[in-house]
Amino acid sequence: MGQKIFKRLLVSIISLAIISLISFALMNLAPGGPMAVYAENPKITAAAKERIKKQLGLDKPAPVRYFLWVKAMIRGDFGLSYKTGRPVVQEIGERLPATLTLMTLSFLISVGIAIPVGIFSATHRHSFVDYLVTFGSFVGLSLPTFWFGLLMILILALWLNWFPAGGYLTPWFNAADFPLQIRPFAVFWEHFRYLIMPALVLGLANIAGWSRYMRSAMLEVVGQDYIRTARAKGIPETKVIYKHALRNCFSPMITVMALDLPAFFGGAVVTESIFAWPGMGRLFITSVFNRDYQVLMGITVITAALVIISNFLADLLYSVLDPRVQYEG
Amino acid sequence: MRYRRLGMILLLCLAVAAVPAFAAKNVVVIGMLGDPETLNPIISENNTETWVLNCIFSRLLRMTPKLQMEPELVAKMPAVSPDGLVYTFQLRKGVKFHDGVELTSADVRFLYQMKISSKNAVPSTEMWEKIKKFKIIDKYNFQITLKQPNAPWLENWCYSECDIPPKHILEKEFKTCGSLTKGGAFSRNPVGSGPYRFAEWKSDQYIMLKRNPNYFGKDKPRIATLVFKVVPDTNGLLAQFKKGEIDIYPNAQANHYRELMNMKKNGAKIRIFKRPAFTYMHADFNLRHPALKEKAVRQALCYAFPKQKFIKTVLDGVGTPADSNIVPISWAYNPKVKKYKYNPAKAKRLLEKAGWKAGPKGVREKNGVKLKFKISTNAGNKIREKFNEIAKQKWEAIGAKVEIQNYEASAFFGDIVDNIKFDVAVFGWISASDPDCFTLWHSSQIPNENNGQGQNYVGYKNPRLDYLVSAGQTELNQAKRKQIYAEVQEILAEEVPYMFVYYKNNINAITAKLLYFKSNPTQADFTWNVAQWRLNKK
Repeated sequence: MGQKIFKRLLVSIISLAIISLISFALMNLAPGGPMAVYAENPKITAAAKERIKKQLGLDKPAPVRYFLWVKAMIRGDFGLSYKTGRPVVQEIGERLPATLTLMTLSFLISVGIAIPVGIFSATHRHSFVDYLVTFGSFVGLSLPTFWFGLLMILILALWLNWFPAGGYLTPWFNAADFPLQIRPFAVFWEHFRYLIMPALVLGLANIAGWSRYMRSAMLEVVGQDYIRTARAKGIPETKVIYKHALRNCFSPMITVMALDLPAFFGGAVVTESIFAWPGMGRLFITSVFNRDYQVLMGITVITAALVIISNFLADLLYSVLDPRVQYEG
Repeated sequence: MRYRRLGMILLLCLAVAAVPAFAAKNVVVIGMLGDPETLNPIISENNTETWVLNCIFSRLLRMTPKLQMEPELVAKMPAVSPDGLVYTFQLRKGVKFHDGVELTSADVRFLYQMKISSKNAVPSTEMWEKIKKFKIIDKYNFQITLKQPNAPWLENWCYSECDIPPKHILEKEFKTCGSLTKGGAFSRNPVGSGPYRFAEWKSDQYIMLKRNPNYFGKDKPRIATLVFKVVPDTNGLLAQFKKGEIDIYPNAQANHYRELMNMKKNGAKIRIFKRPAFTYMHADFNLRHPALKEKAVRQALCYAFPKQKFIKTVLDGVGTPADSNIVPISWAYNPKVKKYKYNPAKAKRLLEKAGWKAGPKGVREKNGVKLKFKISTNAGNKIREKFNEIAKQKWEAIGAKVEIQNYEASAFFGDIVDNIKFDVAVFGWISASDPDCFTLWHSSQIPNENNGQGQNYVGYKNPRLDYLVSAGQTELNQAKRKQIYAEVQEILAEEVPYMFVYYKNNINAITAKLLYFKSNPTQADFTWNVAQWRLNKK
């Protein structure tokens, strides 16, 4: 086992190196560059542009810059953002909490709704509710996020006035303004009211997709011989479904969910923009537009590492859930 | 029992939601699309930064919306020597930075030294390179000598590029770090002498400023807190403005104008400002192109494009058709320039007369050269993309073959425009309020390997124009300058190396609670008089 994990680790490092090389090459092959932000100002001379280039280290050829980047990265230094001049790690660190809270809540919402709904449609196959759920999933999958997000703002924020239209926290929010008894609730509510709409919007697509997976996984398991045996032994139906069948449904579900795990770090570009959520998705997209190679490389490499790790975790979880599966590197 | 507890929690949540502490008191929230990069005025460049810098810092002069220069940090307007070379400034006494240190001539000279230092990544050094000598007379008086007389030079002192930084703080940073950078400590913790003090900056969320009770100006700021809130999506901005989470929606999109007007009509307590800005959109003809180098072709293309209709349909009427490189609100604007009213028949006649005859498939050609070219802009800019679609349709109707090829913004500006790979490039210039246009039209400003500078991307060469744009810089008499630029505009309108498309209108929407808000068409922008803002308590 130990040797296998070591082998896997080695392969991971090689893949990471290849990923970083390819993404660096692609970024630098794309036309334009970090200097394009100065283009529409007629007052900025070419001499000034040269000076800025030199300060950013962009005057060196791309291969040299790549090796400098790798050298620093090995020491844990992701470099400085071209846009803000601050360490990439700091830029990421500032956005990560926002993205993690958003992703966690949307994950909980999705799992909390998708799994019961999936089970219900599987056990009530071809019923009216099953058709309704199927219809709903397709609607959910096909609604574009930016449209659904704006619809939520229109209904929940502008018409019903339940939640703010966007943002992370009220800048002048101060917990000390509230009496001690309700202070924890005040803090909770202050976070929650900003969080709920983007979390719902993000969750929707997952609910739709995951409930379909859950339904088909359940249908497959329910058709197995051991379920028939269990029923034949006279075990109550709820116990058959929730004890015997459910556990066997989780292997395919874990694959699906593990693949979505890197999104916890990467964030969601569109949702974060519409709801003015200060997360990773926005950092990534503004860095793309500014050709902020340093930040992009930082995010790409960390995301790639997370993909590799989450795949690895999924494999390990399989063997926990299904003792027949032996871990093989 | 369990339900009772749940009910209690719900009730508490509702109580919290209803607590009036949430209702902001004495706060004005300003929406902005993106985070600034730095709040260090020495290396700042973009206009969102100007909005914030105007509040934190002060500058020697200020520009009113009526385009008058007024003293701000100086006691009176500077004295200029008769030859136009020496400017003598006198600072107000007793102006203090937010940390209590007095602002003196040394701070102004420090700004100059930092701007010309090759160690700092200063985006625009144009005005600083014109300075020959900076002499401190005493604590409050100083003298600046220019290399050559330069009429537009003084105006720069009105804008945030000339915000006076505190020498006693920044000099330390410069000495310890070797240069001033966006990553430096001052960038995110600025100290100025303006009506508002910096309080907090949360990346991608907001920048918060607090009133400076010791502000030197005669209008003391009254609004306790200003918040610049980042909302990266224009629809999100509009929604937050509708809900009152944002009090000012600056630079509103043209296609939001109608909706804002409807809001007002339906009784929303808002005010909407629409006024022309110093920005115009233009389609640049690359004069190296075998067909576009011909004047008749360019004129025909101008006649074949319906500017009025474009403004009406694409911009919802928010804009003014452009015929000149100088905006109508400028004193130098020449209303008599040649105008290209939409007239496709005339366009065709012009082409026929110049020898461009219809070839196979209706594409005109002359001496084997086809009237065929590409039109490009930065993808994602809806207005410019629509322009390209309309231009293609209209220009093909008079016998051209047009291919649309749009690029993502950094590719378009960083490569296609910068390295002159376009046939027709469509974008906008944000000009200063002075009509000076040397870097755009002087033949020395055609970028090539040797000089590597200038923005005469189209490659326009005209000795008369060279003479005029140089003379316009050195002449100090405004009446004479007006004549010079009148001729510049006539030449450009006749030769049309650019097709001038439209002058942008700026739209600012604000809550009616906010008083004394005045939008400003220059780079000073809408926070230029932030110290005067008041909230209507009623």
